[in-house]
Amino acid sequence: MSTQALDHTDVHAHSDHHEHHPETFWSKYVFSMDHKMIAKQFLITGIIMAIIGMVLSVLFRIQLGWPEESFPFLERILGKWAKDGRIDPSFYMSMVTIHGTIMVFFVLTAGLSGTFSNLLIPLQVGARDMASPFINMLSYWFFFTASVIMTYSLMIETGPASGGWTIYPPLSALPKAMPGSGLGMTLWLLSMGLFVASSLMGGINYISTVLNMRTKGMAMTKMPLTIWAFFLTAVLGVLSFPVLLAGVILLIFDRSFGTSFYLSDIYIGGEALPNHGGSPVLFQHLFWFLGHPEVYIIIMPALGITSEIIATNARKPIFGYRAMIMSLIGIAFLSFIVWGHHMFVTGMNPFLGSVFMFTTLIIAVPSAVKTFNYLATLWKGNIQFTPAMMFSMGLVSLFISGGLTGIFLGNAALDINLHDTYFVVAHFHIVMGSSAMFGMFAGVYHWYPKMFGRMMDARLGYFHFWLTFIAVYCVFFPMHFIGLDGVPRRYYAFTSFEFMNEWLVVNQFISIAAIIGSLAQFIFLYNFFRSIFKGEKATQNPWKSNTLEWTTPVEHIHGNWPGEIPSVYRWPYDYSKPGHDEDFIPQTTPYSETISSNIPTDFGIHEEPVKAEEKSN
Amino acid sequence: MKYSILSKMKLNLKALSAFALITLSSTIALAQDPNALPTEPKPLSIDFWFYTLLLVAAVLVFAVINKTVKALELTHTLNGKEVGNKWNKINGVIFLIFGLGFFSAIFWEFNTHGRQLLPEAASIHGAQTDYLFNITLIFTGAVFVLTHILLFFFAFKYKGSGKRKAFFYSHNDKLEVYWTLIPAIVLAVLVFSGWKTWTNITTPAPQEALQLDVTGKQFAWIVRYPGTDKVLGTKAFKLVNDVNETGVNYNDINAKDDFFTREIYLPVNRPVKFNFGARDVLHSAYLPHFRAQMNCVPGMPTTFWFTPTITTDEMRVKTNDPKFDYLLLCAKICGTAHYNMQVKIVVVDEAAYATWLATQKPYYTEETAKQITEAEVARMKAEEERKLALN
Repeated sequence: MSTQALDHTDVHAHSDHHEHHPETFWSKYVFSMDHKMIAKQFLITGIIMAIIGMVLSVLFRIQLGWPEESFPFLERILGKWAKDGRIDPSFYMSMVTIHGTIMVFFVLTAGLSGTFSNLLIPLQVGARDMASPFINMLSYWFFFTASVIMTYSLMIETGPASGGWTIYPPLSALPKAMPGSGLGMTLWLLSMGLFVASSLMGGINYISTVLNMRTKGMAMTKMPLTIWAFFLTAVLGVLSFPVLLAGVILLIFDRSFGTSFYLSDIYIGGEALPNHGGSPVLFQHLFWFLGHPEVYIIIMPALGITSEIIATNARKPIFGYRAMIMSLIGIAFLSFIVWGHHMFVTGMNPFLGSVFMFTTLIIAVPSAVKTFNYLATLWKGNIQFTPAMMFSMGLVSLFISGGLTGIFLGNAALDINLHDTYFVVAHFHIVMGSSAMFGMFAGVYHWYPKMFGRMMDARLGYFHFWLTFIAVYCVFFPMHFIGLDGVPRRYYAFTSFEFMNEWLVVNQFISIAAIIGSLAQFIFLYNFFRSIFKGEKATQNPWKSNTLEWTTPVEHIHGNWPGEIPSVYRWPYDYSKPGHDEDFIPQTTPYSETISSNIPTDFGIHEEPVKAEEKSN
Repeated sequence: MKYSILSKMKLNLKALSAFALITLSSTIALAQDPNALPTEPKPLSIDFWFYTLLLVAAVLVFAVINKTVKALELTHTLNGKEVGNKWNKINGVIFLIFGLGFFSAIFWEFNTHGRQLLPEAASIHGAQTDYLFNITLIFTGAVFVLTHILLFFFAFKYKGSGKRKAFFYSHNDKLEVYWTLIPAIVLAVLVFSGWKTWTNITTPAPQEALQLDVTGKQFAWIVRYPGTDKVLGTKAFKLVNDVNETGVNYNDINAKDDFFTREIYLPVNRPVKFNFGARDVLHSAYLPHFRAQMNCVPGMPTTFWFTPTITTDEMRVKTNDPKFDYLLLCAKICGTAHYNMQVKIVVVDEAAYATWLATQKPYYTEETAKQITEAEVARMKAEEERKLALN
């Protein structure tokens, strides 16, 4: 195959332009326009942000587990935020806020989509690079600047933003309401503004690349599910992030220019404010119009990655490829009309509540279809337990556990009692936090050879998986029960209420599990950074996968393929096809070379494959 | 009862994670008295070194395990077998063991923590939502158990081996239709019953409902009763000051007999309508025992009504907890002391309610009227001065 042979003249012809401008350190590693390098930049920035988010969570878990205890070493780390070794209540609020912001936006949106959309879209659709490499580079640098501002806000005198990651006004609009609503909130808004810009630039690039730059033969219905997921994610982002930006800009107006979009009838700090006619509920509508698609922006890439990894490692075609695409499209569409389920008890018209309850419970159907398809894919597979596969199966488990509790919360009548309690915390940390994180880990383990040309240590990967999987359930499962007992979220301590005291032991257990789970992440970090330099050299197609990225050489080159971009002849899931000697047939193999294994379905004849199987026997 | 569960759970947890509790108890033993600490940065205390040591020990233990496994792996390779399949076997078995542990842990948790949950709903609609909750729990629980059994069992049963090829099975449209339609039907049932309950709860309050005004501020709740005329007086945020905390308009005849209380008294089996407001930022009035919650929004009045069905005394007997009290707390992040905004609710029978009502005095008296007027004059003067200064 032409892809394997390194035809020198072709390389020359293609990289002509670059030969005159030899790559410097700056153009290769910093202001790189190569999608593979940008993917790595997103990943490593995302990992650093994830560490910050994780450390914050450990700090507030210490507070929640031992609210009456003094930890002098905390004062060493945090200074005035932990006087006498006890975390300050307003800093607690800040930590919760920044933890949420970092994890939702910087890690699971930019870190996940940014890394894998950038890496895989050109490689899996067969393109030399993104539609606009320059905008792609800008996208990373906007993200980087946003990350720096968000991190910097942790160090200012008045403390970072502290109104929760949803920054509901008036709390976030009035510096008098809490210390974090001063400069900290200004920096938060600035950072998020840049973040939205970054996300939009990434999104339009992903969309245009998928739509316009697919290689010969790569019909939309032959794309790997990863690409489908990234594509729909980008569409969601492009349609919903501007609404958040609009909401943020109006909030900036309210904060700095005396407008009253969200403010009305407020008496604070000993005086009645002049603002009149605004509505805090308006902000919530704008926020959740992004906010709900946002959780699918987080989970869909993880589902795409998982689909690909499960098929590859079960050595089976993904079950119901078309159903998987339809369910992704269904989820993407419905995600725009469910945002009101975050607002059942805001005083919104009850009729509207009924409508949102209806749409919200419908979205469970495509999610259920996906789960069943995953299980059917595993059935009678030949499961190769790579760390990536294990994290993918962990994702399936978490997606089920967390998804099912969504059926409670999406029901307006039940939400009255569950809204803003720990039940919600348990729900979204499992279904979107942990499972998306598992998708990200799976992706890193699976495509590490593609990114760095070396393998990660599988043994350490197994330790990492089992410790993390157990820790996640130990941390979040008990929270359902705490929530069902009526304990609200974002409480600095549970000591003021008699009935919450009985959960103290459970909280300690959760905190210990969280600390052990966090320590387990260092196994990953060690493995990740060590393998960049000392990992075993990767082969071209280490997982025996069908997709296009494994036809590129191990060493990265600009333009991805030496010589011509390969053509695609088949769908990406011909694993263990009867009649073929090997258990995988790459997309680049024409049907003419696989006469012994061809079946009517390959040529568009939709027939039940069981019958086809019988015939071939 | 609750306390016995608590101590029992402590024992269980100890059994679960002895390692963890060593950390915990040592903290308690080694922590210093916070009052005795100087304000200067303290020298590194013993607990810091203890944690460092613990961490180093954990890393060492892990490193030893890792090396041992690596050595085993190496001998396996030297024997000419493929390592990958060995790992498939090991992980497949661990998945099965994990699955068993997973279900037993969940069973234990339902058993132990399930008893720590809220007592039975103390309102009419609360009983309905609890019923709905149980129905949903049965459906989702069944799905949860079945899918997880399949997941862990498949992981074990179909773990990779070099000897066999996977079964090529790409789609089955009938199956897809089944597992689209069945969840859709189940969800339709849930949506319908949820919708019915929801519309029931959100219908306008009956005419005879007891009216209450509850205003959230940082960080307390202000409760106002309508007085003998059973009508609440109007309010306006511009009128708020130190003596008139919610800005009640005392020119309104209905406001004159309104009174404020520290605890909410409710007569049992009579509908009560809460009129919520917020003075500064968003709050959320959450009454877990009545399964009631509504946000309090500055500039937008909200309401929630329900009928309490169990008196505090009855509930104390039911929960076997003589200190039990109904509570109203804040569930929407509202600032630094968000974690401590509570009002006690006392549900009593009609007779006791009438007795209590008789002891309540209207807030608006000659004396308070004078104070309110003075505060109002002072406010207007201050505003005038501010305007002058701005000019």
